[in-house]
Amino acid sequence: MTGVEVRDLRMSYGAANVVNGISFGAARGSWLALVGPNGSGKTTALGAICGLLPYRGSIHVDGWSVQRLRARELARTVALVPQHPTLPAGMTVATYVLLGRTPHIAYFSHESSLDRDIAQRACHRLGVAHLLDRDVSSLSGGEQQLAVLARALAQQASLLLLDEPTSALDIGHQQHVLGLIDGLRKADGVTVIAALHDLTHAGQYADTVALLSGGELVAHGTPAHVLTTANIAAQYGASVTVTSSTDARVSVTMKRLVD
Amino acid sequence: MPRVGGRWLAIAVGFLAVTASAATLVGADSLPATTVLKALATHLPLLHLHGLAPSDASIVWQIRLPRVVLAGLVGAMLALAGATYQGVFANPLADPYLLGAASGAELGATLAIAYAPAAWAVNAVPTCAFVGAGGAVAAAVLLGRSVGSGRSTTILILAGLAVAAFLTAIETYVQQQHQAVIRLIYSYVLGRLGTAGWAGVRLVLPYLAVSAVIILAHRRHLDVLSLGDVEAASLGVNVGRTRMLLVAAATLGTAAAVAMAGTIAFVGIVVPHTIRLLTGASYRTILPLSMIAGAGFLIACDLAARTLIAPGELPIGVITAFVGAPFFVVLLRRSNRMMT
Repeated sequence: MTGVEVRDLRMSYGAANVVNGISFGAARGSWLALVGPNGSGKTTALGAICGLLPYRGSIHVDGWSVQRLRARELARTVALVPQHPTLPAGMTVATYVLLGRTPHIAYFSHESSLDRDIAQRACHRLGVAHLLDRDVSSLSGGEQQLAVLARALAQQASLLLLDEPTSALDIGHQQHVLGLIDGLRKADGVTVIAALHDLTHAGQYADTVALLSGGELVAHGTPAHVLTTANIAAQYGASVTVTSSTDARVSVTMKRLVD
Repeated sequence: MPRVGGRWLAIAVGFLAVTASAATLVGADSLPATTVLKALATHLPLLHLHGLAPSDASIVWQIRLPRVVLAGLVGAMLALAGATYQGVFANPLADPYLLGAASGAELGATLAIAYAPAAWAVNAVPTCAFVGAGGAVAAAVLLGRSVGSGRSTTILILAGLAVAAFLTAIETYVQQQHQAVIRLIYSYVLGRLGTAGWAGVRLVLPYLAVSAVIILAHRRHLDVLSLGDVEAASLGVNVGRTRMLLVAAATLGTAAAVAMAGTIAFVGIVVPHTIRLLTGASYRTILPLSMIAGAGFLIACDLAARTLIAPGELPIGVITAFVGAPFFVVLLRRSNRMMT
């Protein structure tokens, strides 16, 4: 199968099991949202998919086993946007985005003009081309997130892993960034797996949602199937209103608790 | 998209050319500039100059020039190693002696001065200092690896601190038992460039060349490491292996530099940070410019050390700190004002 296939994924920190035999898949070019309460194993599962954390079970990306790919081959296939990316003080946006070409450059070699062109095109597509000479650490939160996405885009991977990509952004920037990611997915056929706390984001953008809790997969399917008041009450302990639109997109609104 | 700034490269090369020229023309012996130039020209092909006293030619070729070249090589190496350590450990306070190279070199030199027969001392001091510096860093790495995964930079730095403290304790004990040679030991610790000659240059050059080639070939990797371990690994970099290779290369060059010139302080911190403040955070720029500026800086400091109280001489380590610290503070204040 193209896309991502995760089978019986098991992970542990020391003696503690943090992911207990979860299985899910995402078709090539689709958007899968990993949701669940804090500590449910979302970020840990992302760490396994990009080969950074040891695991048992199997993970295949576009038919290739993550465990069998060399680190550089895997980095050409999977790009990670962490929740709190490091933005080195004093480094220009141009240098920062160019680092996304690392897995495409031979060990003792340096960037070719093609690498520079690809990085520049990524900056144009994310709307940060006018910031190339700016210190990446001095950008606003929204601009920083776009620069990080540009770096991931320059990686030219077929799978984009996003860990809370909008957690530091206001609602306008959230909409802008999620819309850009969705546009890239549709235009380039990139598969997106995003760990999301905001269930409305999952309901609005994801094709499928995997709900994790305590390292277990408790529900997997379309947003309307997974993001129900019953599931959210059971796993988050939250009282919410779920509304569905005609295009099967879902919004989740938190209710105020009354004494 | 980024390239090494031609303007900064020209400024750094200009700085090195000016300091090297000044250090060759000026010295404790007041030779006229024309005599120095004539002495230099005697080694050019097809030129047959007359009227030059053999002692003047000897001062220029056997005393001043090897000293300038050695100062340049040692300064370039210490600045390059300092920048490398700062990148590898993502720590602005890192310097070439972070993992105990200075303590190891000083202990090696102390043991050689205290116990080696006088006839061997000339060769024994640099050899023992080299072995001590390399051995101390190797011990720190092994100690760091034996604790947990050994891949954490914090554990490695703490292991370096422990090794340095242990070696310094042994050094202090040996010094107490051999108080007659303490002056010689301090002369080594505070730096010495005047006694090595061309033989010293030939001895350190291969180590410095190997170290510099390895480090410069990894300047792109150092930029990737500045993203932190997780992001660097997600870009396909073997973080642990790259870090160890760079530490080994920087240690090799540092050990050779301190073996020949003593543990000269401050160059490895002040030069890379000055370059970073002026040109930005990319190691593609920081590493080559640090080498060139480090060479110029140490040549200038050595010129001051041997001329300020001529015919006496100041320890070069005193000059590097005395000149470098205030200059660095001014630069930091200026950079802070620009950012705010």
